[in-house]
Amino acid sequence: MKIPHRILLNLILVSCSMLSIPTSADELKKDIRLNMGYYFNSISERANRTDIEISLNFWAKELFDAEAKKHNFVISSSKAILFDRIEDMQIAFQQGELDLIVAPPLLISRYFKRSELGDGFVGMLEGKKPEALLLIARTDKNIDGIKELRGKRMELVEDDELAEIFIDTLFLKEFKKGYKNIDVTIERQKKSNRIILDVFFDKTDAGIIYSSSYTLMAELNPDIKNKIKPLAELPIKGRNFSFFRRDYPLIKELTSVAMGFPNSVRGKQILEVFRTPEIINCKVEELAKFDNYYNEYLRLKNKTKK
Amino acid sequence: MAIKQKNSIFIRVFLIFGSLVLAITLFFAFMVVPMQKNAFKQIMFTQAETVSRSIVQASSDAIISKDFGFIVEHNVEVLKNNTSIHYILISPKIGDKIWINQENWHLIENLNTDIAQLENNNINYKIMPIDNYEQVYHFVYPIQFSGISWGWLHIGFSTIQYDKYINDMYFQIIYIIGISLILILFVGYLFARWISQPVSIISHLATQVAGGDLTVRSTIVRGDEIGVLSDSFNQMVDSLMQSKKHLENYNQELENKVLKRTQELADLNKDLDNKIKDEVAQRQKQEALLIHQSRLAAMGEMIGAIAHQWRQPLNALGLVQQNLQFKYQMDKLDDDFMNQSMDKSARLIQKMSSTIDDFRNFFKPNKHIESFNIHNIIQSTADLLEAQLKNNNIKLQIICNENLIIKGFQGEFSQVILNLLNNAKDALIENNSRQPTIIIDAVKNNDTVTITIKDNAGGIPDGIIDKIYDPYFTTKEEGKGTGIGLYMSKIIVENNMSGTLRAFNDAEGANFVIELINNQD
Repeated sequence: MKIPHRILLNLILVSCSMLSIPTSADELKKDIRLNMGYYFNSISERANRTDIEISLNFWAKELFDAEAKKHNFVISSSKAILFDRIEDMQIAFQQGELDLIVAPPLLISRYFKRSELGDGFVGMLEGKKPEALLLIARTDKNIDGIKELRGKRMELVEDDELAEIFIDTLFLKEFKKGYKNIDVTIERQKKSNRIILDVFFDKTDAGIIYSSSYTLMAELNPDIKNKIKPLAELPIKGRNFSFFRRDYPLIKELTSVAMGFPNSVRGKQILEVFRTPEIINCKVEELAKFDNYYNEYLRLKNKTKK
Repeated sequence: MAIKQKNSIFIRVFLIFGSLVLAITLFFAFMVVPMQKNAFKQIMFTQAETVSRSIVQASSDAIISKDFGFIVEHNVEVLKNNTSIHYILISPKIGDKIWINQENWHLIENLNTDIAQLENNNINYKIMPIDNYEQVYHFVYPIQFSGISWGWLHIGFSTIQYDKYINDMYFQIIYIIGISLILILFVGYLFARWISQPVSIISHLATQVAGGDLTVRSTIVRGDEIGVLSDSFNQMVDSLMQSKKHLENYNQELENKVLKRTQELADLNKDLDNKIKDEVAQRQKQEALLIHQSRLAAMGEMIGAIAHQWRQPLNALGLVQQNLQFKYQMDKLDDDFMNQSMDKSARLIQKMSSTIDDFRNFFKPNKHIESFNIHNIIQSTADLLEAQLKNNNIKLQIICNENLIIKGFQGEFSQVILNLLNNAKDALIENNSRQPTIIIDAVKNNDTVTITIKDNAGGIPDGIIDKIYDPYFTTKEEGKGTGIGLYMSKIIVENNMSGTLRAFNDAEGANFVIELINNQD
């Protein structure tokens, strides 16, 4: 099963950005640049750094060169930059060094101004199904709701702020306290898949995971659905969103190229690296949902403080 | 002589060379195959051991801490990166086993027997079918930490690579054999030609020489034995040419001599023919003379015999006359006495007459083959000599079946018996033997009839026993023997009756044995 990645979309967009679309039949757009910024922590689970760098700087470039010729593009330069800190990425974007950003939607909504963002792309699950965050628990632990998590062991994905906010929101709603203030043993894992395995093997009692991981692991071992059940869900469409700089001239053209990514051999290879089978476009306005969710979280949190 | 194709040196060298190279190639292929298979298995083993050790090392912390999530995650990743691995089975000593393959993973409680048997303290492997896999290189690696056995790691490797190694090896071997065959054909042809060509040339030249062409010469120039053979051949042909010339000269001389000798022999042969004809004529004359003499001798003996036969009846007849005269003088001659005397005289005269008939019958010419009774012939012949035998007190004993019949010349056979009886009688008289006896014994065997005339006259002297059949050889006084009796007897028996006549001595005297073919059915 393939897992959608916005990173892949970003890669595709970057690749597409290397192509220039002529404004007319006789005019070629030249000196088009496409600098892509990636928040590495959000994509490290899907692919390692080397694979990402290779796929972006070699395979994507090769593919975009070929696609550019078909669309009368001429790519002057392209570059993929991996950021370990979102703040560094924010600064680079504000300084005009990036034409495309790829990061979790919550971080984008918090760190980037809407006025500076143009529409972009997002990787989807197979069949263009949306991604979601799930709270899961072992079926044999008598956990039927949030309140039964007290005194239990839980695992969260490292450096995933959205997952943190998701579980904290659930606890705030149930206990009026953040999860850190409840008798819950929290451990962190780098991968969502690993959390599912730990729950399965009774290393932990519950965890926050992505629905794509749950589906994948259940396919690998159907017994997982018998031993693990979802308790709560937060639909998020995709784990990473990709948005162009609002004034980038080839947003539509590169989007068109990226949408056809699954139709070429090299494109499929790149998507395979990022384990996402589908790509769809997304609007900047879709970030409002995450703004609201974050605001609601802040409200609950502040309420607790009072 | 034409050389059969299969016997030519070229073919033989080619076949021997080719067979040798092919045999060596096949032998090495035969030796290499199992070695290569073992090597491939060793490669598989090494690869499997390396992968196993890598997995165990990477998972050691997880294994010790029973972090099965990590183990599954790690091994799923291993499987994704190693398509040649069909499955991985983590088998702790206690607890469920984790089965991971390319599509999924699950927990199993118990292993099947084939797999479970491989779990011991040693590294094991077995190529066998497992689940849906037709053939798997199933490798079992014992997991031990600080000497404590934790369980086993099973890895099912695809045998595709191994099979590919094997197939490649077979292909290479076939390729090598194919190349070898081509090389055998090519090099073998050159080698065989290099060996056989000069020999063939010399052989061809030798054939021409053998056919009489001494003008041919070998042009082969080499520094080896073939070169020496070529030179020697040329020298030999030179010698032959000289010899031929000498021979032609000798032959011419010889022909001249032969012509001369042939003429001489022709002349000599002509003389020889005349001499042979003369000799044959003389021989025929001698034989005719001999036969004539034999007849005369027989007639003489007949006359003697008649004389002997007549002597007694003549005396008796004289006595009858004297008695008649005496009766008459005594005036006592009456009719009865007269009749008796006349009857007696008539009987005596009749007897004498019959004697003449007997002799005449004996010498009657009878030259045709007929069946006759041996006993009767012997008896009638003996009767001819009866008077002479009685006068000399010689006892004659005839032992013969009265029904013994053979085919032959009856008269000649009688003459042989008469000759032998006469000789025996004369020997007995000459040696003045005591109780002189002649025994005639005729015996019929399966294929022969043997007639033995035996006397007790002391036998034939050793010095003459080899000469008794020679014509004109006799030991009798002059006028009593002609020396042709035994000669004629042997001629009659062996030439005319296809029998044998032989003589030997025993303790009492001589034995003459006539052996005739029993031709009477």
